[in-house]
Amino acid sequence: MHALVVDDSRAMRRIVAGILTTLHFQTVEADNGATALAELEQLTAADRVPALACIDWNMPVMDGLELVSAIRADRRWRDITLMMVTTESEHGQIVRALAAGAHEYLIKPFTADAMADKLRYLGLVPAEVNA
Amino acid sequence: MSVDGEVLAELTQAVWESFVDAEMPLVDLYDAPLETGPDGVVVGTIAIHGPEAGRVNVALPAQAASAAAARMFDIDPSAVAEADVHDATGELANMIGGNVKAMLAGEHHLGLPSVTVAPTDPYDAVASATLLWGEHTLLVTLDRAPGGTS
Repeated sequence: MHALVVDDSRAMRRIVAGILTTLHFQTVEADNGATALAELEQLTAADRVPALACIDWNMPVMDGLELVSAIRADRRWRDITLMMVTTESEHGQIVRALAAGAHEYLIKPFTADAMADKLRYLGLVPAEVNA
Repeated sequence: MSVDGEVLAELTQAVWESFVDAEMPLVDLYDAPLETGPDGVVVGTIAIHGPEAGRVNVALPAQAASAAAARMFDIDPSAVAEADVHDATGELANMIGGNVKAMLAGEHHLGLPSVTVAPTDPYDAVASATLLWGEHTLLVTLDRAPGGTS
């Protein structure tokens, strides 16, 4: 199963990708929404549409909310589960992200177990696989 | 700002426990001074823009920053590169800053994190916390920007 990790922080991409690799995902990384869309086009062309995208909110060029909206607007990517992974913890921001089409919301800081629990809840990780 | 040293310490402890070391939590030393160590200090800074504008600074001895990076990225301590230290310290500032921002009244947004190898000139510090990690100390400060907004 493939996952796209989108964050302008190389540190956070490494952390999230590391957790997802432990959970048996193959990861592709992008540093903003625009590069994420380019990666998605390439993955789609290779018939490797990811099952999951973990998306930061605050990024240059194209932020996470714009990316969520762009993915949701494209029928080729309607099966991708979108999880916001961000420090934006205000209730209004969470509502905006879910309204734009995000499925889940994970607030930094989080633990590997918390991410695994979210993915189990979404049906993307079997119960017996641990982070 | 509605964030004092105790809150700053709690936010830092939560970030540290999640991403650096869950086995050895940070101990709050309150107003103790930062012990800089022989190799200088690494400082991660992130600006908060808005009505209560300021900066969050995370300062730690270079040796501690390297050890934290090794744990954060699960790499051998001997293999830690300068870029790893910068990534780790900047992300710590980013996450602590993001949680501080969430506690401020009104709409604020974060700048991009920066990392220096010596302390930056502080604005008027409104909160600070010194924390102990093993034999290392780290200092987290919240400064207020001149004029209130930036």
